[in-house]
Amino acid sequence: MKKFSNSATAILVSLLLPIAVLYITVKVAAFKGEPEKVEVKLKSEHISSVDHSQFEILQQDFATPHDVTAACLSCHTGRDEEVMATAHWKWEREVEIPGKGKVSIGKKNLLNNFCTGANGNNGSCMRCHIGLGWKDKTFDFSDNLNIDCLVCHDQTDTYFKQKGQAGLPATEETANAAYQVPDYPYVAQNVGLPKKNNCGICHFYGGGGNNVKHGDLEEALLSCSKHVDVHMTNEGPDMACIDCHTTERHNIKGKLYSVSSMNENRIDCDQCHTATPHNDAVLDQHFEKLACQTCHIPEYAKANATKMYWDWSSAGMLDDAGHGYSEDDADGNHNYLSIKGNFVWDDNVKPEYYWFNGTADHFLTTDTISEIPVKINELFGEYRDSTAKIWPVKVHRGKQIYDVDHNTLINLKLWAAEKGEGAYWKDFDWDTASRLGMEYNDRPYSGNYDFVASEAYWPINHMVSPKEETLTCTECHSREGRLDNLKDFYLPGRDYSKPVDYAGVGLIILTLVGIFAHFLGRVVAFFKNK
Amino acid sequence: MKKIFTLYIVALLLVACNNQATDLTVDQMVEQAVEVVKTTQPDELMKIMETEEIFTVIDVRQKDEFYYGYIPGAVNIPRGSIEFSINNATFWENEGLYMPNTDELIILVCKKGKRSILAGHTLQRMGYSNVRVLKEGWKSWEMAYPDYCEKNLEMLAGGPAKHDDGGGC
Repeated sequence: MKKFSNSATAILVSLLLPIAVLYITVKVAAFKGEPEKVEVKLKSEHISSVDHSQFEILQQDFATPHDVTAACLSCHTGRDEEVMATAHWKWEREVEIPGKGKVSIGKKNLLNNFCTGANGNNGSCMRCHIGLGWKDKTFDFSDNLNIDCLVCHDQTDTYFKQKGQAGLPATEETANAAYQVPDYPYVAQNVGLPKKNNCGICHFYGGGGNNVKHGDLEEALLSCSKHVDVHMTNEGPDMACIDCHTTERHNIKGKLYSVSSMNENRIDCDQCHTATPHNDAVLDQHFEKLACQTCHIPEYAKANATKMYWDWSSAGMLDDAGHGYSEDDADGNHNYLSIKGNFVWDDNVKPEYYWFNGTADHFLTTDTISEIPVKINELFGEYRDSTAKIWPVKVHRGKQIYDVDHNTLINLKLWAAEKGEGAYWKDFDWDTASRLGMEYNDRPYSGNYDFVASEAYWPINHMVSPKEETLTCTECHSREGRLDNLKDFYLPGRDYSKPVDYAGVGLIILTLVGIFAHFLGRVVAFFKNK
Repeated sequence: MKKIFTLYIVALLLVACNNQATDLTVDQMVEQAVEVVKTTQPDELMKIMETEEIFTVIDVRQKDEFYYGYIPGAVNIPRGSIEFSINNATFWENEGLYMPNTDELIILVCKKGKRSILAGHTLQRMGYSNVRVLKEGWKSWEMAYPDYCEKNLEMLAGGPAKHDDGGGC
């Protein structure tokens, strides 16, 4: 009896123990802790301690926006110096680019593959400058009355810079159905910290329309579901831009990655969420090599489409009457404009992925073309770089005009108020638009032009998804997964070696054979000893 | 009693073996279809178009999506009618095309690859054995070959519109 009891116990233990070990292993592996909760005081919830409508100086009939600025500065002394030291004012900054040394970069000497460049198209592009009336090279950057305080601090949503007026609001002479003269006393008495649309009026519409450039910054963020953005959703925290882009003395934290070369003055998710937010060791380990955005922004352009491709070479076709025309794609986005060429738009776009250490090269106006496609801004980083992480990126591809003889990209004169001034958007003459654009930028132009492929890289930061919609493991850890283009490292689940696989499978088979042989031996021994 | 018990066990096994899931979300349906329908990349499709003689590219988007931009040579059969049109000789005759046999190569296209994978699953169940789906759909083609696209705005009510607002932001 005792012998039977011992045997039964042995069989039970030999059966139950492996099952218990397997069960515990699976349970431990599948354990997912609840992510850490973040408790922060949002800056946008700040309530102003003063009522600007009570100030006598703001109750006057201002004739110009410059008069409003003078009134602001009479109390907010010294703020003009802060503003005038920022890139928002200067539109340039001194940086160090590997291989190029210290250079001053900005819209003065940077090009892009959207509208190619702002310098020389001031009437239109300088509408997004925080100054008043940067219509040409005579603009006085030392005059503090040229600062436009209202464009960032207006709380009434009634103050707008007029289209085509180089950053000035409408006047009695220029007002039309779309742009009226602002009610300056009303606006000046209702100022406060910048709201989403104060920032968005420029940062949402760059490139000529909503979400054209960034792909992850657009007007839908003013009022969106949490699917579009968990931070800015009005179903949740309804955060404003300034809650992350915190500001000290008008210096706003968080530079745009695509146009900044150095890894400084950044905003990082871990400022609020810490570097180990998942309460899960395996997920937290990913922080070392993955930007948070990689998993948490699986798609961008979630509400409205963004421009993915822009072919300038097809611009200039006119209708029978000699007028420019437009054609749409199936979603209602212009995919041909006579003034701009062909486009490809897309929504709910899966990002491309690149190593990025926060530093980037930029194609300067003085650079010559050495590779095709031309890289407008090359992101630096690789697996071996300990500071680099994998980032989600929007790549904007296109074809843009270049000088065949000088082998340089061309600054175009695109915009003018009237026909006959040589702007391409009015006169459709590439040669004249190139010559005038290059002249304004003090650059040589040979008169011989063609079109060249180019790529611009836009790291994605906004449109963070709810945790339920983040990337699953197999989106990357699989063959033909999202990281298929990053070949400089071993990725489990993606990379295989046949000899190693055969060796592994062989070992498993040998182990199973061994277990079975052992089991048989035991059974034989049991009956033999009986 | 023993018989009833045996019948109960057999019934239980039959129910357990029937893996036809219900209440699926569309994403789950797409995931299931991805397991059984082959996909193809734009460059592979271009190679097929350049080298193969017998193949059919079917765009399963709605007509008012299709004519705004499509792969040259593609025939439009909206997904809602593909089961009815695929082996309807009159349809192919009206299109001026040869009706594909069940063993011939068919490449399905939609906007982003989801409708076409579901259509591909359907065609496979109808006996079409050589069905592929363009991965990421028309949008991937448009990005890969922006100069090799067609549109037919004449088939739509709109067509080109006057646009001379002077550009700018």
